[in-house]
Amino acid sequence: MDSTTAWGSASILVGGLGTLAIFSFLIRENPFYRFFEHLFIGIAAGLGPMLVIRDFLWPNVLEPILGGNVTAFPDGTVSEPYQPLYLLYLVPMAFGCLYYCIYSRRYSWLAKVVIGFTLGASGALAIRGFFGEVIPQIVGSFKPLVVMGEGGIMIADSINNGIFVVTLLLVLNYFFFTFGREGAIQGRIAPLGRPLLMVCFGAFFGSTVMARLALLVERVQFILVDWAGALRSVLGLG
Amino acid sequence: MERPAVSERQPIDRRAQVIRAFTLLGGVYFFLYFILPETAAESLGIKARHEAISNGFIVIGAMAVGLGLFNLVSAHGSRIAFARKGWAYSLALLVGLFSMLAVTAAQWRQSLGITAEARKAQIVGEFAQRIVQDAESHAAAPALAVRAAALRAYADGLLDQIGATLLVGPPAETPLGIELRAAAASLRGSLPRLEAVPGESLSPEGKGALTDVGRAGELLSAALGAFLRQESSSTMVQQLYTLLYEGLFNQLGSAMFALLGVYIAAAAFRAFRIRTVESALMMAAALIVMLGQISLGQLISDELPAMRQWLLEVPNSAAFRAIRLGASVAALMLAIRMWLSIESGSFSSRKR
Repeated sequence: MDSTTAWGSASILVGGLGTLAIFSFLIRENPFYRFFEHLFIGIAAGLGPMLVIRDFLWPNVLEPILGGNVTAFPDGTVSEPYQPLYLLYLVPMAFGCLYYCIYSRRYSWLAKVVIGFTLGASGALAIRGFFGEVIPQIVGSFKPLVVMGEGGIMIADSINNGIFVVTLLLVLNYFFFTFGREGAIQGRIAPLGRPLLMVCFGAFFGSTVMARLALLVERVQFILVDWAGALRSVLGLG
Repeated sequence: MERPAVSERQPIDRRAQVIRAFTLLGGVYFFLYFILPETAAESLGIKARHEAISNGFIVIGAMAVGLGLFNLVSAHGSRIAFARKGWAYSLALLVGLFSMLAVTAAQWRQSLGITAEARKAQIVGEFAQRIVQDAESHAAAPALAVRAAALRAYADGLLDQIGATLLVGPPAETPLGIELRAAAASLRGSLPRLEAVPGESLSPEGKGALTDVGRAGELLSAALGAFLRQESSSTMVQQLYTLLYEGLFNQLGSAMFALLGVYIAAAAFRAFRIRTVESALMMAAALIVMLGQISLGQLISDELPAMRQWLLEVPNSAAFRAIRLGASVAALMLAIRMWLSIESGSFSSRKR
């Protein structure tokens, strides 16, 4: 067995062991499960910061600051002059470092300054997102109730559009709490949204369970085919 | 209403004011960029710099990366140091954390090395293109013949280096090694044509020669990158990365999600009872969606997949959109309150 195959087998064996450990939780919580659970959290926590540095900070910020995007040609000329404006990135970097003031009793309020700044930016982005994404959805939701085709009215599409619009309005109305529901009209219309919501939740539930079960099937296949095969190979049985 | 005496008034919390001012300031740019007409953003030069400015905002958030690491290390490190209950699990977490950090950093360093090597060949292509561009635009640059000679010397040196270090031994006989050899030969073959580049103005032959060299340089860069990536795939660092990422991270993540699926189904089986028409509707919708996705559903009825599709596309889509619209309006209100610091009294005040 060459080294690449050995590493590949080791990867499958460890992955299978981890999968069995996670599934052992179905019996009850046990040290085997908790060990792999902690290992998983550690690996995920280690991967996250490296991805931020490798995929964002280095190519977009640090490399341009250090002039890494400027190519020196063999005749001494350069691809583009160094942009000193990139040094301005040092300002948000320094400002972002204020997060660490949270560990100081005296200066912890400075961390709130940077958190507040980030919250403000997120708020403005959310406002932009609402008008940029949600408004077109509202407009698009009001579909034509009579769909005309080449041969006249397309009945199935028209009915579907009608159901769509009625469902949308009834569910929206169900969540409308500004006025009371004691009135004759609102008192009768508002409860109609509930069964439609239940249909939606049922469909959600079904989709979620099926997506997770597909993963479960893939895991079981991995254990029965890949992992068992690697185990047999290591034990010299196959 | 009578105003309180000066001595009875609450002291002005300057820090809270600073925090609120920065919160407002944080949103000003994105809000202005959204409401400004495109022509105004262009004339102010904001549009051209929008990506760089947005990156500046992301940089602020990215600097918080160390907070999570520091908290994890301090919480689990102290548990190990004082041998508290569950210290062995904390040790597993920290081993996973530092292994992943170290291995990903080493793998990244290796990848940077490969990119730098491939870049050397890419410079041949870029330099050849630059010579043509400068000559055509009459930009201030060294004489054409000098630049062509520098390009040729650089490319010769690079090819000698590749021939001496990479195109030897068994790796050179692999498909990617053969491809690299062919790309190197193509560049070597195109270099003598650079002699056609005259000293003063660029002739059509000279331009053709430079274009050919540039193309050959780009091909060599691609072949060199692929060859080096293949070579590095068997290194210890790459194998360790594969073990941690594919062997553990991916597998454990999938297992966790699959486990949750089992629990969702089990919880529904235990707790869900059909007592009302609405719960019956919910169960029916769930059953149609689940059965319509598998072959067993088709055995029961050929219509089930179509029913599932209709259920998802019409009533489910409409109800979900209504929920989303309602939530979006609430999110908009919350965003405005957050931006204007109406929501964050306790956040910006001195009280903890």
